[in-house]
Amino acid sequence: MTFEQVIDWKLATLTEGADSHMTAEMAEYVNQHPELQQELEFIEAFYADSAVSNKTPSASMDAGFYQMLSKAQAAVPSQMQQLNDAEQTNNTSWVEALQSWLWSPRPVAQFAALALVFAVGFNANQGPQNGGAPELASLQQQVSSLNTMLALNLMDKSSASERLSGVAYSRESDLSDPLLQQKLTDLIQNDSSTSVRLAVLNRLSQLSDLSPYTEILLALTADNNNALIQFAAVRILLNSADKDIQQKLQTLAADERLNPDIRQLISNRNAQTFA
Amino acid sequence: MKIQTMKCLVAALFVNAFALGNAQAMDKNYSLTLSEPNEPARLEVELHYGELKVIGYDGKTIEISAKVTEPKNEPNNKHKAKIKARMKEAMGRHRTEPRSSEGLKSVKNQSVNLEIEENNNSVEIASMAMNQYVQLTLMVPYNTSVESEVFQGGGIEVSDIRGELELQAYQGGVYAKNVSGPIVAETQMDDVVIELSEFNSSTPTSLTSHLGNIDITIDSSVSANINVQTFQGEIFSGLDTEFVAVDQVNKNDKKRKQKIVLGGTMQAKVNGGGQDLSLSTYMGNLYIRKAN
Repeated sequence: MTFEQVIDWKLATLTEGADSHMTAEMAEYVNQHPELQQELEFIEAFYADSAVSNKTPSASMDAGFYQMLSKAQAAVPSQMQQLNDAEQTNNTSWVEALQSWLWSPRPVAQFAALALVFAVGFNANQGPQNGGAPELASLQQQVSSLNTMLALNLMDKSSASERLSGVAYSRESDLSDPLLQQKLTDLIQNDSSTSVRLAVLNRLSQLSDLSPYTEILLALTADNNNALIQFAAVRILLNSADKDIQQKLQTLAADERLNPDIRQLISNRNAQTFA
Repeated sequence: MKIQTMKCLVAALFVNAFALGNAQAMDKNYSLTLSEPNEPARLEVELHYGELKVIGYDGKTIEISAKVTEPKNEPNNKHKAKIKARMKEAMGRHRTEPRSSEGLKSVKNQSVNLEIEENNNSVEIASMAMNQYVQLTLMVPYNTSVESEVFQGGGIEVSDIRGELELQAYQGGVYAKNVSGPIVAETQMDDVVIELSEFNSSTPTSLTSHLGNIDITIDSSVSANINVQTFQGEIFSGLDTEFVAVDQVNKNDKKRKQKIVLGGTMQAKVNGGGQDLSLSTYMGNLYIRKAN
């Protein structure tokens, strides 16, 4: 029985749902090695931190991160102490010291934990067909949440270019987030830069469900003050299969005060639909 | 942190008693020392009536030259001139008739009214006068970031600047050369013409014109995703990379709903792609050129 075998078993129980019952031999071995017990607890805590609730991913992720950070900080002095001890022992060679440090249980466990994070992150990028496990979904949720935080922060900047960056980050975010919806709504209605408003509209054009934005898009279509915004908004609405939206567009097109080009566009699409 | 606030009002300069009617100009120069001369500055300019020129130079101060003169930039085609005349007419409708000036002599406004404020390398320059055309020329350190708005009159010209640019002109155009961006520029009636010496890929660049053309020249080594859209104009490209329509296939998280939009926008991934460089115009054409 070795440390590595026990750690491998622990990782397998956490990632692959392997038998979580420790054999008697393994339990005895762990009892004899309290440092190994600590490492198993560390991996378990690390794993538990990753599987946070979907309801409040941002706060939990923060808490998890700081918990992890404090553990890592706590681990550093003990590793330094081990290295110092190795240096002070004159009758051991540098190769032995290195081996001692390399194969001490804490770095192995930390390396294993990092490898686990890397593997899960790599799998998360392989698309949903390879995922499915709740922990993977949770990790994806955390990444999305991090992107949302970053997007919201950038969208509040005074520089238009940074706000554009914020909109770009929102591509990787979950647009059902109410704060993000509110911010995007605010930007398409009030941002001083047409570039930023167009970028938001471009982002919304990728949505499969337009319902939170339908009324705003209709209002932008009816507003003759900015033809670029008008066109971008009406194009999103015209691409929608929602009959209610198409009906509302027909009502708008009947208003003679509407930009004639927009009216024409709606009429053309209507003619194509019924042709 | 060293914080220095300087505010001055440059006004009522009776340098020479000449009239604007004689097409002569009066000017005022000012050298502004930055609080942190070795750090990059951020410049914000708001000009209600006039034109702005910003030139980068190898210095540590901001050299300001303001000149009150007659407007010289007129719309460069008949269509734009017509729109401008209509706007003027619409604004004129709300003015009352002038009263009799018999026996009075005309007193021309001979002051350059300009407000300059500096706070910890953040510089704000504003001319709010609606009745005097101000030609403002600023020489700034190369790495200055510039944010400017010109509401009426002419446009904005920028050259030799390495900082971030945010330029908005309502009647005139935006012309920038030997700049690296990122740039966010917007015009209502006139053109946006940009010659990029480099392409800053830290944040997106986006150029928008409502009625004008957009003309951009980029170096052949630039890597970028160039997105283009014009609603009534045409697109002309001198790039080796082809523009292709971007198809979008989106599915919601539960895989129960999907949306497919074929050819929503056109994009060219130049040199493998990179940061976004977006060009959008409603009525104008788009010109994408490769630097020689």
